[in-house]
Amino acid sequence: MTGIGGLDNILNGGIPLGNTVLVTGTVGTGKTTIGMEFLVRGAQKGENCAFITVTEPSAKLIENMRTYDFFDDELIKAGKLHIFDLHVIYDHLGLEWGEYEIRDMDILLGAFEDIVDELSITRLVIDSITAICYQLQNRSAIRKFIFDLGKFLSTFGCTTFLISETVIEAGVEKYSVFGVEEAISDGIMLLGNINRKGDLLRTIQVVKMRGTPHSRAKHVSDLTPDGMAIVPLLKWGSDMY
Amino acid sequence: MTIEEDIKKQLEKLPDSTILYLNSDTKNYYRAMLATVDFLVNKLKYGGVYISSTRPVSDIRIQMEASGIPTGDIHFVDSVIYLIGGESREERTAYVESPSMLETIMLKLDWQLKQVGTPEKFVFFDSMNGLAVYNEEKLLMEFIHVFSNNMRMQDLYTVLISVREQTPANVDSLLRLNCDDIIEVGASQGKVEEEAVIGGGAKLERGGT
Ligand SMILES: Nc1ncnc2c1ncn2[C@@H]1O[C@H](COP(=O)(O)OP(=O)(O)OP(=O)(O)O)[C@@H](O)[C@H]1O
Ligand SMILES: [Mg+2]
Repeated sequence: MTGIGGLDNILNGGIPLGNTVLVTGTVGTGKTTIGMEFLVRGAQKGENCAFITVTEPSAKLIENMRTYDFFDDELIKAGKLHIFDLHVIYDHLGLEWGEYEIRDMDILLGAFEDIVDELSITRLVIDSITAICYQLQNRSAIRKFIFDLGKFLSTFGCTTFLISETVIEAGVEKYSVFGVEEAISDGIMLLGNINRKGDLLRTIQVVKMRGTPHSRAKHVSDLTPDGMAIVPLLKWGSDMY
Repeated sequence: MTIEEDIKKQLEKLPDSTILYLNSDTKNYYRAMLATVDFLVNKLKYGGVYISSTRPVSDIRIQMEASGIPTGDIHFVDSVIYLIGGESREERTAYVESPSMLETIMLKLDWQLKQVGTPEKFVFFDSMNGLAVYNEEKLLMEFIHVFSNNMRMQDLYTVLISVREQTPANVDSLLRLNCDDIIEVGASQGKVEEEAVIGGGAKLERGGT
């Protein structure tokens, strides 16, 4: 059970343990929020959780999350919720931000592995995987990186959200910038909007999830102070595509 | 008997929890709304959520207070203020950008219901004819179906108000079919009675769909 209202119903119980899930969508669709809520719900149940932030500094992230009631600083103090700045990890490792060598990739993977192993992390969020992928030289490097990452996370039984951005290419929405992230993930959750007469409704859809029979229908979501809430999209109100 | 007295008499015959279709003519619409909310708040002592897709919450709150209805236990969902560009800072109020965002209205309602402190709660939806202005008929009918069943499952005292002259015929029939009880207020369609009130208070067989 993720503990996120409504999501466990769509998933028919929750995300199978150790799955690596691509949480993808366009800007401002709630990817960071759902990632943080996933961790908070886990930490409240006593799990050890970690958020690796790449796109924004951790102080900024925490400040944004404090606007929600569900976010609880005490979980951080209690050592149940850890927030890491990727840039800080880089400094520790002596890595340069920019294009990496294969060797640097292995060092980074090793660092993620240490975090998960040493802190017994069972829920991990990387926000975003797209930002990390931008630094890898090519598709095969990205494929190897995500594959290796997913492999060790599943051996550790660590359920992971890899946050990604969708891109529109030739009018078609792709789940990830490089196209390999989604193939390697065990699950894909797509966050988006539908346009109803000029008004945007937030939507969430589980496109794939290995190991559970789930609903593939588009749902409407809302970001409440308590986190994400979800209802089915009305049939006559869906968009054309 | 005044309209208020008549409505109250009919409401007293209803069970503690129902899905009520409050069908009023234009002229008596506000009185019907206020009399019903007055009954829920002052008589039954229910708190609840008032959903407005017709007028801004600030107006409604003033009108309620002026009629002796305390609004401390009433939360609101407002889907009109963005359309008319007013201030969206009322207390205990959730805002939805437009009456066409029906699913978002349901989500805001769920959230507001959780904040209501009284043990028994009502939901008052103002109004079905207001929604009909902004939504395709098929979508609105699907919504009414989902919404009324959802409210019934949660055992909430639910009132769906609609102005008779402005309710599309199909929507009206669906409301009659899906609601447990109906109260008719004012002149019925076609008739031009001046102070005619007192609809039949037709009571449907319970259960709906
Ligand atoms: N306290 C809040 N309550 C409700 N909604 C909020 C709150 N704070 C922010 N939002 C909404 O959430 C949206 C952003 O959510 P979030 O940062 O999780 O999205 P994201 O997909 O990670 O965005 P980005 O693409 O910028 O990383 C904002 O655009 C805003 O509309
Ligand atoms: Mg984000």
